[in-house]
Amino acid sequence: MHEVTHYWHWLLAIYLFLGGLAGACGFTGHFAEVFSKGRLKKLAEIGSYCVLPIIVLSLIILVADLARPLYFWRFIITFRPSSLMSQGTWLLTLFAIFGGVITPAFFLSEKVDALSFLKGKDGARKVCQWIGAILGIGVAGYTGVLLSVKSLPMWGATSFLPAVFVASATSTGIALILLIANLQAKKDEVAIGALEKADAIVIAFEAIAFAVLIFALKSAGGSAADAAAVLLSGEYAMMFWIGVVIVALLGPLALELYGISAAKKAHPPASLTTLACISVLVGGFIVRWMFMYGGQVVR
Amino acid sequence: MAKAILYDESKCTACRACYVACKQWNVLSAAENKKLGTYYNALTLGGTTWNLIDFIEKDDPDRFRWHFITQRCMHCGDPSCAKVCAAGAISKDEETGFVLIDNDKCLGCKNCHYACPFWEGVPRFREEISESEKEWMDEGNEVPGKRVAGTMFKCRGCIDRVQNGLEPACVTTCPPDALQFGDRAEMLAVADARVALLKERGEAKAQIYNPEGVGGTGVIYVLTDDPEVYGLPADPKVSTADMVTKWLTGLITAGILTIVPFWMVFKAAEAEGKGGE
Repeated sequence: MHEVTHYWHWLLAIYLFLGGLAGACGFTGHFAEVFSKGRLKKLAEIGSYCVLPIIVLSLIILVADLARPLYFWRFIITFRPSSLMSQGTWLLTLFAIFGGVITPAFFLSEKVDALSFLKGKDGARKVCQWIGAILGIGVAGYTGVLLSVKSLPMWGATSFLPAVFVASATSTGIALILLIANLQAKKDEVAIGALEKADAIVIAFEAIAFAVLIFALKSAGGSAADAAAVLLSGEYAMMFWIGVVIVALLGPLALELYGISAAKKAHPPASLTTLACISVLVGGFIVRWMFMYGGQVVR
Repeated sequence: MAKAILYDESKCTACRACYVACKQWNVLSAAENKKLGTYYNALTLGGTTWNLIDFIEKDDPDRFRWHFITQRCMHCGDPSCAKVCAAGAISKDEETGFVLIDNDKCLGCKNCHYACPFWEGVPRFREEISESEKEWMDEGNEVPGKRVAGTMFKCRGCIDRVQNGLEPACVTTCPPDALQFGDRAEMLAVADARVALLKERGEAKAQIYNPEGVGGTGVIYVLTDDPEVYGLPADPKVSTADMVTKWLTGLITAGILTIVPFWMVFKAAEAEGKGGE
């Protein structure tokens, strides 16, 4: 006779989603700029503006979820390397400073007089942006590792949950930047095309990561196989097949592939790109929701 | 010297005196319950339920068996709950080996509950402290440990009793001596002898449960069937054991994504962009 206790719920699912999204906004735009040798600098700028609001929102949620939120400072003054929550607190704090405050301040110095002392210091901006990007990868990774060092089989029986979370976070980060780039009055078609292509490939990797995770759970047997069955044919099958496979993966992938192939002939309608982005973002949230609740079905 | 509680299933009558003694000594109010027409007096561990007896019906080929087990904190040698606690609120008492939550430091994040490999997560949350417990304390009476609302609770091994030369309350009360307490090495020896005796009597599956993956446990079981029958993991591990591998999996994924789509696609955008600029 057992009664299942659900302590962690939707609030933390939102937190994991936002944490991954913020981290990915910090590194996807950055790498777009670096690899295009500055051509796609605008994407790094868009990404950097997204970081702080998302991080602040996610931190509010994280603190609100504590039973004793007024004692949050104890997390800050304690550093325990063996605790993922402690690692995450530090990663989030440093990422918020470098990726959320300093990097966008450099970008804003072009427009805001109060920040003019940072104007033209592109070398310093790049260094801070690199640090922010690396911390962003850390933040996106930590949201997956946090769940994977638990004793619940879906989360912790294999090492592949972080791979799914990182791929999903990256996809949502690209989608958010793409969504904003696509809504701007003066569109950069090269940037939009590149982001669509990148996202399509990331989604393909995410699908592989999902397949590997589920295969690994199934072949581990026992409670891990039961956890895989929860997703494939059990309580969360609907959420998995529709929410993850269609909304997060195949739907946006099809829309993006159509957009990429249509772009060769004529400009595809912008609304298709917007739809793909929203699908990725909603799907990314469903991924967190499904793991948060589905993971607690089998203990 | 590390201590241990030994639970011998073959001696247990499921009288649940251990459950009552725990509630009484630790001043824990009754948990809300459902009447199921069964022998359960608690369905699950909780903030005010630090141990319980679980009943398992098993249809063996030769006969029908009714197994009992005490669910409680296992006081791991290498406790996962302490590893994952970001507030540093959980520690292992050096003298006894008991794993203790400092409720003043606990922030109620429930990380420990999900890290624990036993009994669907041993540390349980208390939203508030019940009126009956408050009344008791208001009258000037003491309670073992600290009662802080919004924190996690679990068995404390009656450390206050042990430090004063007594056994944990559940052990003292156990009528058939199914629970015993002493130095860990001594308890393991008692368990060994008992398993040998049970095997002699035809209990082919008699075995000790003291899993290595969590550094051995401060609660040792003598079982008459495989651990899974009782809801115990056959080979539990410290939940953070593969932390480095798991981090690497995430970081390698990030590395692949950086090289394959980003480097390929955005590099191409540079060439494409030169015409457009």
